[in-house]
Amino acid sequence: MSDWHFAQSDRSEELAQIHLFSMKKHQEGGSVEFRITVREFAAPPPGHSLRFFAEADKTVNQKTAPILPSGWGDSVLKALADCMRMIRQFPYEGQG
Amino acid sequence: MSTSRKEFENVELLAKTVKPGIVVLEMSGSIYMGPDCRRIDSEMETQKAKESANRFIFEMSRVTHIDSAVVGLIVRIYTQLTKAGGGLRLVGTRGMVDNVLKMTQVNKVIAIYPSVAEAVESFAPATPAA
Repeated sequence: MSDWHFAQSDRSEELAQIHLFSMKKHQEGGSVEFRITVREFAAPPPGHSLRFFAEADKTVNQKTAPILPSGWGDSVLKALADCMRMIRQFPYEGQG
Repeated sequence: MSTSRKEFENVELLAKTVKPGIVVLEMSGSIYMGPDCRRIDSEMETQKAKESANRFIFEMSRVTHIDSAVVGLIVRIYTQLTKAGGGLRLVGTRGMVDNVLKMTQVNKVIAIYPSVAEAVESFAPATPAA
């Protein structure tokens, strides 16, 4: 375990190391870059059993049911892959 | 009321027709990508064909975990049903499941109700076929 985990005094502080990623989604009409933030929590946040949470910087499927891609996992890879799966599954249809 | 029960590796499903054209799909356990999602899809198709249903309620109070594939499935089903003149309601989400739906902002698109009765009530009466 990395020593930074010990800086947290209570689980509710949700101390996390941030991992930043970017990916390009290719679709009809061009490509769009998504930035994905993966939080590696020192301990699973209240209500969760996993320590890694990934979240994209923009929503997809905006015209029908906008959703913000995200994912949980027990490693950076699993959370990131879960989030990227959702980015691939739905079209990016512009903000607003 | 007609029911059918099927058990799978992670998710347990129980389908109930509560009103003509309205099916409640009770789910329990953990639901993940792969077999679980395919089974829900399959059950949906069965109920659509058997009960002529286009309004569905997912009762999720006993679901403990979902992943992004399930969120994707819910959004896809919601989109299909809405375009077909039907609808999808969620009931009883809690804990990790509730957090995931909020984080993905699905709760802003798909209504979540505390009880099946309230979800059934939220559907407008079906228009009789001409």
